[in-house]
Formats: sequence, structure tokens, C-alpha cells
Amino acid sequence: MWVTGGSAKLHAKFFVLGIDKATRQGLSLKLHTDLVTKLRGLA
Amino acid sequence: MKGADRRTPDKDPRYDGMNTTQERGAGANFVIATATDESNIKPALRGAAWGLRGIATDKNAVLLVPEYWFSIPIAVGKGEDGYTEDKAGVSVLPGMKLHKANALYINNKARQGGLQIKWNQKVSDDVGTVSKGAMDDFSFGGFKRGSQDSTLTLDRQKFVDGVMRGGIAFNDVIVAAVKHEQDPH
Repeated sequence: MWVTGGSAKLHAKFFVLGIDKATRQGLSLKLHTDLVTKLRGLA
Repeated sequence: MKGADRRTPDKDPRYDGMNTTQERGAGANFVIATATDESNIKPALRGAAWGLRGIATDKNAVLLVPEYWFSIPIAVGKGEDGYTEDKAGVSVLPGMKLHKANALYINNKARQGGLQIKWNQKVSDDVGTVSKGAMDDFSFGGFKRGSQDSTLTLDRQKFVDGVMRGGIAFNDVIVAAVKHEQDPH
């Protein structure tokens, strides 16, 4: 992101570390399961 | 779905074999996570659900593709046009937002629709630890320029809790919409 204050300008970058693919896929599956369970409950 | 194109993993090793995407104006890389590599289907130009319309027809069902977009960290820029000095700085907070969430659907007659929630809802104040790098700055002709890198190292459990909080909230929105569709009264 860029931040400007008068004649001063800053470019800031952010990096996110620490979560592997398996964790992210596991979260995706959990959300999928939660939604499917709730939708089946409507039937 | 066997014949559908899958997304190509990002070559950058920092993404651990996952895919990334950008959103116009957001200035960020978003990592794409699906439950399995098999389900990581490249979206069609007419939307994620469109490429799967054959399944909706074959199964005589409504096919739903939800997406949850999370942004990390929360960064607040502050610029100051002062009497003696101009300043530009940024605060980096270890929080997480549900940047946006949407669900596209398509029915067995290829009719499409979707729902989306308001953007930028905070789902956690704390998902890890922020480390700010050194400020790299210089001046020329009365102008000041600087750059600064920050790193947020995620706490696994806090990250999981935040994603589940935001994701389940949107799931409940979808379920409420489907319920209303079934029985509008």
C-alpha cells in the first residue's frame, strides 16, 4: 500500500507466513461440510 | 468434472504449491484453497458456477459455489501534511477481515444467480505476530520517500478460529437465503 502525507510518501508491503497447504485445505473442507450439513437439514 | 481445467499452482515456493489470484484495486495476492486439488477447478469466464452447469443438469439440482475471501493483516495508513514536516506512516495490526464472500449458483436450466455480503467485516483482532522491518528512506528535492516491509507470522489456531468464524457466518447467510427461497412466507 501507498501512504502519502504532503511531500512524504511511504510504500509498505506485508508478508504473511506460517500456514501450510494442508491446513488451508482442511479449513476449506470444514466450511464445505458445515454448509452441506446445514443445507441437508433444510430438506 | 474430470475434463475440467484445474488451476495451475503458483511457482513461488512461499505459496506451498497453492494458487494465487489478485483482485483489481486490492493490491494483494490471495492464496486459493479448495478442499482438494481435484476440486480446484479453474472458473469459467462467465463465473465459477457456469463451467459446472452440466452437473446441475445431469443431477437435476442447483449447484452452488461459495467463496470466502480473507485479508491479513489489517493495515492503516496515516499521512500528515504538517507545518514543519510532512509524515507518512503505517500501523500494521495482526487482525483478519472477511474481505468479501459470495456464492454463485446455477440451476438445471442454466439460470445463474448469486449472493454477496458486505465487504471488510473483521473476524479477528489477533491471528499472529507482526514484525516490522527497518524503514528504508531517502530524501531528494524536498520530497521524502520510504519503504517498509512487515511480516505477519500466523498462529495456526487463531487463524483457524478466525476463518471458521467468518466462513460459518457466511454459510448461515446462504442457508437463510435458501430457506427463504423455499418458503418466502
